[in-house]
Order: sequence, then C-alpha cells, then structure tokens
Amino acid sequence: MSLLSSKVSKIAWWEFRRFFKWKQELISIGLLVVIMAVSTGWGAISAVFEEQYNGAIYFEQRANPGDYEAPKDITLRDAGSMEVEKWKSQLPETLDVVVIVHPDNTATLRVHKRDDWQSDLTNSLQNYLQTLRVAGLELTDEQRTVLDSKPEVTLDIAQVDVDESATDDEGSSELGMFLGIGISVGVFTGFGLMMMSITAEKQQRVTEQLLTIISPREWMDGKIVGITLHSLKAMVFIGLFFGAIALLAASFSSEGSISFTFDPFVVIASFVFVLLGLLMINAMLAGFSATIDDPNHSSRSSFMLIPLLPIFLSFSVVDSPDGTLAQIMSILPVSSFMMMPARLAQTDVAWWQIGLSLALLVVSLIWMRNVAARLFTMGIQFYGKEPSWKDIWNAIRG
Amino acid sequence: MNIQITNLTKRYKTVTAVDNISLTVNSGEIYALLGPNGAGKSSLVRMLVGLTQADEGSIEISDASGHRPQLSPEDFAYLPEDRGLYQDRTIVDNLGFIAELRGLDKSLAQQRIDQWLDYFDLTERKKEPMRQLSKGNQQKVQLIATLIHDPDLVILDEPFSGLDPVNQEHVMNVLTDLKQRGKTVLLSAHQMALVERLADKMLLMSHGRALAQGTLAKIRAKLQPQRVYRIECDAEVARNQWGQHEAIVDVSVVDTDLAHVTVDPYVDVQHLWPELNQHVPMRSFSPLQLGLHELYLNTIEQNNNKSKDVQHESA
Repeated sequence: MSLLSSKVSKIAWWEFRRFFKWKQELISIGLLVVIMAVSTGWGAISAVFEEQYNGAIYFEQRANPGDYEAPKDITLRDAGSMEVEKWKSQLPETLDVVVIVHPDNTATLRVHKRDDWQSDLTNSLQNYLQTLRVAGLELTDEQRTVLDSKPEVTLDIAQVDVDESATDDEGSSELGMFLGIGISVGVFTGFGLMMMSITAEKQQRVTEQLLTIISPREWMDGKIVGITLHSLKAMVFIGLFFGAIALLAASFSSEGSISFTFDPFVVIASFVFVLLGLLMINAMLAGFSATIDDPNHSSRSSFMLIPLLPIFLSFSVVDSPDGTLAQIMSILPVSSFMMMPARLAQTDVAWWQIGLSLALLVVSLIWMRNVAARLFTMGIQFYGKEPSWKDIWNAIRG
Repeated sequence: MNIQITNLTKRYKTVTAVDNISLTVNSGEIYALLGPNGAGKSSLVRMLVGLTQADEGSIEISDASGHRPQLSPEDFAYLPEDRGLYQDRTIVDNLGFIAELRGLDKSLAQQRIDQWLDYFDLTERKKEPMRQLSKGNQQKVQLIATLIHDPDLVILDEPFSGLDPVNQEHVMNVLTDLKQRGKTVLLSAHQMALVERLADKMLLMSHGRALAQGTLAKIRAKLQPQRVYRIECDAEVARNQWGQHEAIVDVSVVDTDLAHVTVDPYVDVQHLWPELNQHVPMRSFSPLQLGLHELYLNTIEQNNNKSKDVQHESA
C-alpha cells in the first residue's frame, strides 16, 4: 500500500488541518516578532533606562592625574583636597561616590550605601592601579613588552585539504547545535501532537466508525504524514526565527553582517535524513500512542520519551563531528537523522558512512512502520482500558 | 443487498456473546435486533461490519449481481453504538472528512451535506464545533455522517438513542425512505413502539441466543401461544364463575366491567363462548394482542428466570 494513497493523503491533510489553527499561528508569529524586536533592541532600551552615577576622584599624591576612565555609567570629576576633607565627614547627596587614590596605589571608595554598580568601579580601579604599579617598577622597554604581550601558540593542522568551512570550528559547531535544536523541536512537536491526536480520537469515540471506512494502516500512515508535516512546519518556523535573530543581531553588532553559504548537497541530504527520521519517530509514537487510553492517567506516556534519549545524547558530541562517538551516532538509525546533518554541516563525511546511514535509516523506517501498524491496529480498538504489556509484546512480534 | 447469516458464534474469554445466530435480511427490508443490554446485538453487528471475526458460522452478502466476497466501505454505512466525531472541528468539517473518505467528490459531498443539514434543521449551526451541540444534535450529525454516501446496506446500532420524539420521527421517516428505495436496513434499538411500526422482521436476543425471530405476527405467535381475550362483562362475577372452568387458564380484572381472560390453547372457543355466556353475560369480546413492548418484557423476564433456574440446578 502506498504511503500516500488517496485516503492516506486525505487523512494526512485532515490531521494537519486539525492542529493548524490560523489564529494561534498568527499569535505565535506576532509574539516571536515582539520577542525578536525586544531582543535586538535591548541595548537601546537598556541605555534609555540605565542609571547614571556622579562622583569625584582625588589623588593624594598627584597634581593632575586625569587619565583614569571610569565605567560609562559613572561620571567622575576631579576633586580638591579641601572638598575631600569636608566629604570625609559628610558625603553630600549630589555625589554617589568619592574615590580617594592613595600614594601606594590603593584606593578608598566613600559611598552612601553598598550597591551593585560599585563592583564595576572597583574592578576598573583595580586594573588602572595595577598598571600604575607596573609603571612604577623600573623595567626596561623590553621587559615591559614581554610583560604586556602573551606568548604565541601556533596551531599546526596536519590535514591540508580540509574544506575551508570545516576549519571554522566555532561557527560550524553552532550550526550543528542549531540543527539539533531544530530537530528536537520537530520531534517534540510530533510527540505532543501524535499523543493528543490518537488519545482524543479514542476518548471522542471516533475510532469505530472510521475503522469501517479505512484500514488501521491507512489511518496510521495518514497520521504519520500529517503530524510529520507539523514537525517540519515547527522546524521551519524555529529556523526562520533564529535566522532572523542572527541576521538582526549581526546588523547591530560591530562585526557587521553575517553571510550564509549553503552547499546544496548538504541541504538536500540533511532534509532527507531529517524527513526519514521524523517519519520513523512519528511511526513509533503512533503505534505506542494507540495503546494509551487517557494520557492523564497512563504511566505509559513517559515511556514514549525513551526514543528521545539519543537526540539528547547527540547534543554532547555535536561539537566534535569527527569523534568516534559522533561517527557511530551518525550511522545508528536512532540518532543518525540528527547527527548526520550536524556532521555534514561541520565536516567532510565519508561517502560510505552517508550511504550506510541512509540505508539503515530506510530499513528502520520500513520496519518501524510495520511494527507500529500492528501495534496501532491492536491498540486503537481498546478504549476505556489499555492493552497489557503482554498484548503489546504479542502485537510487536506479529 | 441481501445478508445471510448462518450459525454465527462469537466467544470472548468467559462469555459467548453471540451463540449460533442465523438470520436473513433482504433488500428493501428493515430488520431489527432486540434484546437487553449485553444480549449480543452489538457483537453481532461488529462481526457483520468486519470489526471482529466470528469464531464459527458465516456471513454472506449478495446483491442483484450475485455473491459479494466482502463489503467495501462505499457499499455500507455503520452507526456504531460507541460513536463520536471530532469535537473540536465544525459540523461541516466532520461531514466533509467522512464524505471524502467514503469516496464522494467535494461538490457532491457539499450538496448532500446541505440537504441533510436542512432536513435536520442544522443549517445555521454548520460552522459550530461539535462540542457546542446538544447530545441530540450530535446524534443527528452522526446519522448524517453515516448516510452521507447513500449506501445500499445500512447498519445502525441504537439510532434513536438520545433523540427527542420529534427527531425520532425524523429518523423513522429517513429509515422508511431508505426502505422504499430498496435499501437494506439492519438496526438495534430499545424503543419497541418505534420498532413495532418500522421493522419488517426482527430478532429477539438474550444472552447471545435467539429467543424468537421473524415478522411481528410470527414472534407474537411464538411468544404468546395462549389466547387472551378482552371481554366486557361484570368482571368480578366472571372471575368467580369462570375461574373454576377447566378451559380457562386465568381471569384478570382490568376494570369493573372489563376482564382479560386467558383460554387454554387446545380448547375450541366457538363452543366455549355460549357456555361462558350462560354463567356471566358478555357484552362484547375480542382477542387481545400484546404489544411488542409487553412481549419483550415478558419474554426477557421468563428467559432470565429460566437462566436462574438452570444456574440453581447446576449449583
């Protein structure tokens, strides 16, 4: 039976529409736009509301120091000895701080009360006074140069024909992490919607009438396709959102704009892996959801989280795409749909690994669909009670 | 479309839900399954529509073109006992989805939906989600979903439940129309008065077994073998006088001048009346026929008592 027969496609479209609500989608987009606007404009907003502090600085042994730069939210003017003497007994309300720099390059801050902004000032003063101390040492120019500069460490890379993009480790691992987040969103979307879809149908007693019109396998296939469309929609949405944030953040940053370079092969291959993986996970969720009568009172719901474990584990190795564990996880079907796209985005992957991983994923999808169909056929006719673990095992064995 | 069920049996772990049932339903007939809850009606129907498999016996479907190996979804309609539609979707969405799955193209589906909603006075509510409808209105939408593709065989489990008398009449008219158009209707129901008016044939079931089946007259003949007469006379005197007569089984006083008299089935009543009339003058008499409701209650009660006796004996 074709995965997209006429009835299957009708059910898939029905499942998609069932959970696609224009009003909610628009509200979500509106909220994301607001969050995006706030996050990108946060610097300007915080600058408007940032408090300014006024103070004075006095050097006990220097006539005209003038080269200390206080943190930007603190304005310090030079003070005279008479003023300082007066302020020692009574700090006026117009001043938040008086800084007295002592001859031994230590300092005292006189304030009304302890506050957070004082730590920035303290750090800043410590750095400044340290440079004064170093300057006070009778060092030669060479010694000063040695003291100011860090030793050089050279990175010697043995592999000479590495793709230039693969050398940008930081950016690539971020892309891998980003892909992982997107795929997790897709999987979690499938998890929630599949459970809701099937248990609601059982509770609303839709099942018996539908089972005289369509076969359980057609019904399950339609659900898998429809919910997978939702998973992809959620991934696209989250991708666009993060992409927009990255673009906007870059446009406000000092580094200027960022550029995206897409390798068509990586994009297509990643899409194929993600699509097959989502279909496989959603098939498994469909079969298992059918054995649950009421998610609020079933202990089985938590078992459905088990297949998500490899996805979480993938996050721990996503930044070392050539590691042994990452290579194994990119071949095993339980995690390959996440790890292989992450590796493809970061490094060169051997053809045999791509081929083997894809073949295993396809075989697993076919196997999972068959197992899930047996489970679904058995479970969907149980309502008001749940099949036992023995029933489930017998169904899985066929 | 004709249904021929032969010696059908369905067993669950400790219960025989359907026990050796045979029946025939022909095109243009309405066949009713009667019986208390747990009698096996729904189990019988679920085997018929293919939701469960029989342990023994056979179901044969045929039409004018001959024997049909199996029913296709377009051939029949099934209204299950445990029924519902998508509560968060509108009436139109639900009906459109079912119609599409039944193979109707969109324009025909829309046309049928409009006609049915108009018939059941639901047109103005068609954009409302199911959850906002009363139980009765949900029931009507269910029935529309069942009949939307105008099938040849209609199987309805409790089609009248949840409906008020006006809407029960609406459904009666729909079923009568189906019958007149040559469709085959098999239904189960508890509303005896409606079944009595509607069904051509019926099967009375209890504990999975057939107690009686056929036309109402045939069932009455089987379940009411003793002849009961409605006699206008001085009822108290009649009870005292006729109660001793060897041909009289029972005299019950209905009113001061009305008695129900049960006569031994083997006695020739033509000779009995003059004799009785000599003792107590009769103003009129006519055979009393129990309604289906009374027949049903009496039979089920007798059957339950019989079952208890068997259990006592075996204990």
